[in-house]
Amino acid sequence: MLSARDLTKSFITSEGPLQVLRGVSVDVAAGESVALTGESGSGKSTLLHLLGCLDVPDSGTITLQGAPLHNLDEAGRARVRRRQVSVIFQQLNLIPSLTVVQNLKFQARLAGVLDPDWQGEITARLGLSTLLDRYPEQLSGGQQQRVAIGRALAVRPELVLADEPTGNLDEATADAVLELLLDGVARSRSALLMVTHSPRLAARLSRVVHLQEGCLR
Amino acid sequence: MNAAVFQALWSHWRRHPVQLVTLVLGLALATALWSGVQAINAEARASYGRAAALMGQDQLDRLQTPGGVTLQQYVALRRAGWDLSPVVEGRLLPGLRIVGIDPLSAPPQPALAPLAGDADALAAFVRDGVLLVAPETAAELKGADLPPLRLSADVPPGTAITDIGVAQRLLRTDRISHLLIARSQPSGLAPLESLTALDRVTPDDTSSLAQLTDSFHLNLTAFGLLSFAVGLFIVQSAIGLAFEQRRAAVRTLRALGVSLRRLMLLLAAELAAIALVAAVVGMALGYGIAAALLPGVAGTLRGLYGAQVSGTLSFDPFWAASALVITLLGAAAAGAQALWRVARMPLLAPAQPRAWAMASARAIRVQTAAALCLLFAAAGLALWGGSLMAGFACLAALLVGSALALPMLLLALLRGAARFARGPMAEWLLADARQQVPALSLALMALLLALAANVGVGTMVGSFRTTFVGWLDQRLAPELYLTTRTAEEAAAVTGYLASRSDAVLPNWSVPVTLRGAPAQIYGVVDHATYRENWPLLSSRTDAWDSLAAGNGVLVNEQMARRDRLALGDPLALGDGWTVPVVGIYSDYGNPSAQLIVGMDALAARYPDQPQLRFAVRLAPAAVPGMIAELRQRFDLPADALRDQGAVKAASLRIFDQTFVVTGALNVLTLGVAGFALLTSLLTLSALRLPQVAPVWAMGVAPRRIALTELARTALLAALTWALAVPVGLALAWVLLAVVNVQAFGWRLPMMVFPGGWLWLGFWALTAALLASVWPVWRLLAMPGGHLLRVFANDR
Repeated sequence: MLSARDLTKSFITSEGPLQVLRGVSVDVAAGESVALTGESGSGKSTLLHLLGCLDVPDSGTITLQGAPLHNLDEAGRARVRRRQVSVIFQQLNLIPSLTVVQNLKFQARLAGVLDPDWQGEITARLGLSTLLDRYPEQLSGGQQQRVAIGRALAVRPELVLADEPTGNLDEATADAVLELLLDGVARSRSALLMVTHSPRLAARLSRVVHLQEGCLR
Repeated sequence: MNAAVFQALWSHWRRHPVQLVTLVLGLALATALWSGVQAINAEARASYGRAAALMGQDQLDRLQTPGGVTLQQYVALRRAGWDLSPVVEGRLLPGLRIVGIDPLSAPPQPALAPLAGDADALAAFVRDGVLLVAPETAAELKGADLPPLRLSADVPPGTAITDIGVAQRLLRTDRISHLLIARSQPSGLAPLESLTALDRVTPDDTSSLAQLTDSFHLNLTAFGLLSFAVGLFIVQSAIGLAFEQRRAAVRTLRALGVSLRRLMLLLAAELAAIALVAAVVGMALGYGIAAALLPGVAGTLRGLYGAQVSGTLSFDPFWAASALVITLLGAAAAGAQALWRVARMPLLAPAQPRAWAMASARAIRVQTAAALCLLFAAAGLALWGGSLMAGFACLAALLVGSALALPMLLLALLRGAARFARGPMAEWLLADARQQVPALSLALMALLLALAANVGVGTMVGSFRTTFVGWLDQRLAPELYLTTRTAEEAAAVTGYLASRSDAVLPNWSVPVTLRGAPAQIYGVVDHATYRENWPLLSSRTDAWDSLAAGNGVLVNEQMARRDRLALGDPLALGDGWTVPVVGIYSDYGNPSAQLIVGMDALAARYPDQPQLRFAVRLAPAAVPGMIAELRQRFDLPADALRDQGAVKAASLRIFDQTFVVTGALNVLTLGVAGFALLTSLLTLSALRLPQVAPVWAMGVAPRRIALTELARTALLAALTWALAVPVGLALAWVLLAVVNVQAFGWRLPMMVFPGGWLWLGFWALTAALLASVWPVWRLLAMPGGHLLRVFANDR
């Protein structure tokens, strides 16, 4: 379903160009959940950003359901992010000025695919029914990540990309959040690629790929 | 240690140069507008002082009479031993006042310095008919057909001093305007009252220019203060952000052993240093603004009060020092809250930048309560104030109260609008606008003040102009106005006109002192011109009949208000001459009391006063021909005949000139408010990334986000404008019904001009959009990587 080939990416720093990805190739099949691990600075987030159309590669190709993503313009990439790929970050996923229920519906309404039944089911399964009128600043870290998962799944994306979604949470909360994420992804029949530092969490996904110094091992 | 700490604190400005520029510019702008207005006021007052001191007018008693003093009257008094000095005054050109003196008997004064002790110069002054003028007046008179000019820096602007004989020749008169009475006189003289029927007039402070123009300068000062306050909003916002962003540095410095006292002193010193730089920039800007506005102000004062004010600005060290002090005080006022926060911050306070200026719900509630108190106070002052200062206090309370109420009102409006929002972007726009209100509130308050001032002053000026035009039509009904030089000439001209016009109406007045203040009594004949046109505000049904019978008096609004006169009240006009008030009429633009009685009644009391001025009724089409004919037949000077159109045009020109400065200050204040909005949006843009990044990550294109950002600013500006309109109307009401009445003695009907509001709304939106273009462009041009950093630092 998702196929990336020979991706490279470098950044300009004060000490000169920094090569972050050096020809990375990765595939994720429909419904599959893949953990992406690696040391800090190994390029995990950068790879995730390229796959999620949040950034563009210097070279290489990315296809989703056979359609190329790497050569899309900004509007095309925005369309993919709206409808096909949902991204969950480690923090600040939510729009601070909107309530929980508004955040949950936001992306689905943007994409024009709001399904009230599905929305209700996600909300209930994520245990958010009592928090709907609260604002993000009034939620705990775990609650905020549950809202982010709900918002990401509301569009039934083909691919969910999660960048250390439990990185800020304690172990118990992280386990609970991951459980809900995996359950939700399975119910929406989406694929999942999740960046994590934790071998324990990575082991709960169907496959693990390891990134080291800009290359997959 | 101090140097190290100061360096650590100052490093913030090196990393945020735009913030520093904002702070300096904001403070400089605030100072500029305030000190510019002060410079104008100081220059005008210096001119009044010079004018008042000319020929000892501010100190010496004088003898005068309507129609002028004759040579025989002067000679008789001199022969009786009285030490008097004759003065002839009059206008030669629209902008030139001629003062003719007898250089041998004139009181010594700086303006005559070029003649002092120089026999040749004195001889030339008398022989050649030299005009002594200020350098700027000489520049304005270049090319005019006049006697030779000689410069004297101490002559007031717009004035020429010359020998009395030359003045009489130039002004085509054989009369003397007044006789100055020297302070020390020979002993044993017969009292003046027994020698002459001339009126002895003592210099009267109540009629001095400085007092007359006080309310005008108070208006200017109020505008300057408003601009200063608007500028301080920018400064407080910039200081607040800078201090907030340095919380971490402050905490670290304190943790490293820097005492709170030392830290506070260094922060205050840093602020003072910035204020000093801003003061220099502000003074330069203020001087430029004052120099640009002064000619307009001089024109206004000339038109309104006949005051001659220098059109060029001189540098005054006192003004510079006061500008410096006001800048430092402004910086202290704007920085006080930030310094107070640092002083109260616990050593272990969280260091992450708290959402800057995010007023809590409680703070907004307190603010709203304060606003309500101020608005009630404004209402109380408007209803029961009863003085000019109370009027200005009412304006201040109204403006500050409205500004403080703005955040709560905006939040309520946005909350209401959210119920009708359709679509996620509209919901986000409104929700985000609501969240931005506390952070933008200072800038929006500044915008509200500027817009309300514009609506208020625009409504006042518009109401005034509409009323004034209608009033001119009523008041200037006759088609031609004639001024003759002598009683004989008057008789000849009116005799000629009797069969060639519809009516010749004497326009005759005598100066008197009533109830301790100078006043002018006019005598009118019974004619339809007055009955049908005179702008009466209230009158008895038999007003004109009473006037014709000598049994009544009309008073102008100013006098009626000042002396609390109502219809039917008896008014003593002289010994044994008391008549009831039968009508009150509007008399805009006149600072003094004025009354109208029947012509016969006035002539009976002042039989010796010559009647020299007349209003002539005739077909409008015949006016130009009649003017030419009268000039030719009676050799009348150019300004002896004026047609109605010219008088109206001159009046309207003076009126419009009066509000040129107000208009300029209006635009400047709006500009400052726009700048306040720009600085707030710029400083806020860095804090907006957490709001914008998730929306972008969810697939909203940057262009759409940018448009939404623009729409949000436009929405807030539009709502602020919508709230500013009623505040402006309230302001206009206070100006028209309270301040004008106290300052000038007349009240104007209030009219509304919705077209002007829409135009202002357009400018408010333009200013807001211009202010948001740069921050939005920065957002638009931001690489996606910058937005991604919001979510995580790890690559």
